[in-house]
Order: sequence, then structure tokens, then C-alpha cells
Amino acid sequence: MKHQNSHINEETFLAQWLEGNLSDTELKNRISEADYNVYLKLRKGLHTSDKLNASTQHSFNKIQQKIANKKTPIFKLYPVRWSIGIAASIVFLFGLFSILGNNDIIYETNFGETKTITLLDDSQVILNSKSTIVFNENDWKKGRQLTLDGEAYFKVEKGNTFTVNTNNGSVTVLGTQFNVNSTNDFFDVVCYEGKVSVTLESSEHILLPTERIRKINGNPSKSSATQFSKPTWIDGESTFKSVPVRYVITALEDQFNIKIDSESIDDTTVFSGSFPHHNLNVALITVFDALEMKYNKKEKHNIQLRY
Amino acid sequence: MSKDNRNICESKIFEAIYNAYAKDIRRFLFYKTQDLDKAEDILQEVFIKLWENCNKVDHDKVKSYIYSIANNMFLNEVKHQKVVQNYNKYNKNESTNESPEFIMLEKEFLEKLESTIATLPEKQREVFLMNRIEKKKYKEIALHLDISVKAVEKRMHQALVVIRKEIGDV
Repeated sequence: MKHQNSHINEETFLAQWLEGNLSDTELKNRISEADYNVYLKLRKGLHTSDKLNASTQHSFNKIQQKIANKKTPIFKLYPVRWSIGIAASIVFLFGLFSILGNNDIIYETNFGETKTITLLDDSQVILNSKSTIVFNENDWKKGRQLTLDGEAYFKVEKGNTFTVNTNNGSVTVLGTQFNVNSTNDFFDVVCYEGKVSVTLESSEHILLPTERIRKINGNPSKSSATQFSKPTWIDGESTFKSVPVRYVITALEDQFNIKIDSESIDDTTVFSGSFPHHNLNVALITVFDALEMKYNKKEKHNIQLRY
Repeated sequence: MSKDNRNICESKIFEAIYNAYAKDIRRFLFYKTQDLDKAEDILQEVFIKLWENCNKVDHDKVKSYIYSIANNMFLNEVKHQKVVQNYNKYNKNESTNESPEFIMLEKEFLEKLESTIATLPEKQREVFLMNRIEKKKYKEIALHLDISVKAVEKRMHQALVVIRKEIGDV
């Protein structure tokens, strides 16, 4: 110690002490009690200030973990009508006795909204605007199965078969990435990775990466579809390739919460292109200028199309 | 779209809110708890609660929302702490974490400390910040600035003397 202390002199001892080369007791012997107390507080203040100014990323990661572990991400129940309320209560009461309640889990998105959902098996679903998925927590253990209305992108964890049911047909996979759009009578599946099996009313199709199957007016057609590695709507842009414009109009309506009146145009005109999600005006210009259609906004959310 | 549709449930927006307020909330909680770990814990709870209620909170009001959540959670913590202390009192006379050497760091003290560092003479401040923020040893600072270790130590020492003088008695 003596050897070390020989380096410590009047002009530097506080620096030595702060770095831990001089003990508190040694400091105390050098200065007044009042000074000593202030320096102790000062040191603690410095440590604390360092920590308070340090990055908060660590806590953010913890938060993400805890949220993921809670397994109760945002989902809305159906808008409950009173009859359903009563039905639900009865189911609940039965549930009290049998413990096995009816655990339907529903996720839905509103106009212009997307949601990322992690399923029970860690598979991920990104839900596009105005879309719904429903699955049953109990049945999930027996087989991965859910029902989709609207559009969603799936990244499925490896495991047994994963089935997406829609009004237009069902899609079955083992573990892969794909996009399903089933809006009214429009049905479109794109495979981004792995192998996807699509079952329609009358036929069955196997899709390989970049392939797409589409059913419009009941006629399925398969094509090699996409040069993208994931659907563009995830990054805020909806892309269409040779689609009748009425489906594009539905997509615009769902995205921006607007009404589009297409009575005076031919809504089977084919459209190829994309529109951005962040700005309604830009979206309208990109779609309808390309088709040489005019539009005027009667009211804020009411748009009329003409030639 | 004309209306403010920034939805807190969107993870990007949520993260942006976190990045905007997390440090301030942590600091706010430290002033109340005087305990960094506890402040960090409550900070996490606050934002988990915000996430759970992301549908119900307006983006415009998010700041006051998280501050009041933070405050309520702190008060709950205090209540809980009192129960624990009472329990300990009746069971065993264990010492609390507030030992005689416990040093309270008030908001005013820390703010004064930080503002004093900011107004240190350039040469002292340079060395001081390298040591505190970049966590450099005196030797590394000396190498970096191409001066002797002794010179670094002198500047550090001087900086501490200046800060102590500025802060006055506490």
C-alpha cells in the first residue's frame, strides 16, 4: 500500500479515490468531515447519473419478453350482442364446472390497421386491414387450424400441419411463409417459402415459392407471381397484378375507411400496380390516374368515380 | 388522412413512445424510490401496462398517462413496502435497506451536479466525460489525448474540486 500511496499526492488524490485506488478511510484522513461527506454523495451522484443517462434498451427488451410471455396480446372480442352475452354467460357457467370452456380467440383489425400476432406455437401472423382470424385455444393442441376473413401473411413454425380455412377454400402447410387474401369472392394465395397446398371446392393445388394461385369469379388460375420476398402491404403498400379494379376498390375502402362509388365505371377493368397506405390522395392518384378515371370527393369519406 | 391515427398498439409507435419517455420516467421513478433497480422494474411495468391499454389511450395524452401510471405504481410499491416492514418489525428486528450510510440523492442535487459538469472548463470536462461516459481508464485517456497520466489525474482532481465547490454543502 505504501508503494502505491507514494504516487498519490495533493494534486491528484481525488482522482485516485474516484478510481478506487485510494480507500474511503484514506480520503477521510486527508480532508475535513464536511468535505468527505460531500464527496461521498458526489460519487454516488455520479454513479447514479451515469446509470440514469445510460441506454434504456435493456429494459425495452425485457418489456418485449414479458409481453410475449403474457400471451394476451391485443385482441377484441366480437361486439357483444346481448343474446351472445347470455350465451357466453351460459358457456362460462358450464366452463366453471367442466373447466373446458369454449376458448375461441379472435383477432381483428380495423380500417387501415395491421397487427402482428404470435400464435401459441410461435408462428407469426401479420393481419392486414379489415381482417379477422379466429381459432380455438383447446382445439389448437390437436391441430393447428384457424379461420381467416381478409388478408394475412403467415410465418409458420415447423411442426404438424397448419391449416388456414377461408370461405373460398383452405390452405395447408407444414412450416413456411405465405400470404392469404380472402375478401368476399376474391381469393389469392402466394407462397414465399416452403410448400403450400391449397384446396378449393373443386380442385387442389400445390404452390412452390414465388407461385400464386388466384380465384376470381370461381375460376382458379395459377401463375408464377412475385419477385418479392414478402407481401408489400407489410411495408405499407398494396400491390396488385392484373386484378379487376373492384377488388382494388375494396382494398382502398378497407385501408382508408372510405366509400367508393363505382357505378359509372366498368369495375372489371384490370389493374396492375400498387398504392401506398400512408396517404389517401396519393393512393387515389396512383390507382385511378393509371386507369384514366376521374374521382371527386363528395364528402370527406365518400368518393365518386367516373370517366 | 387528416386525423391523428398514430395507434399505440403498433409496435413501431409503441417503441417510439418508449424511446421518447423511458429515460425521463426512469429518472422520475428514481427520485421517488431512490433505488435504481426498483426504478427500472417499475419502468418496465409502466410500459407493459401502456401496451395492454394501447387501444384506450390517445396518442396526444400518452405522456400524462404514463406519468400517472408511474406515480400510482410507485405509491403501490410504497404501500407494499410498509406492509413488508411491519411484518418484519413484528417478526424480527431486521435492519432495513436504509442503513445509516444511506445517501439520499435529491432531484435538485443531481440536476445541479449534471449542470455543473456541463459548465466545467473545457480541459477538465473533456477528461471527466471520457472517464464517466466512455468509461475510459486514466491511462487510456492519457494515450488518447497524448498527455501524461499525471496530467489526466490532475484534471480529474481539479474537476472534482470545482464540482464540490459549486455544489456547496449538502
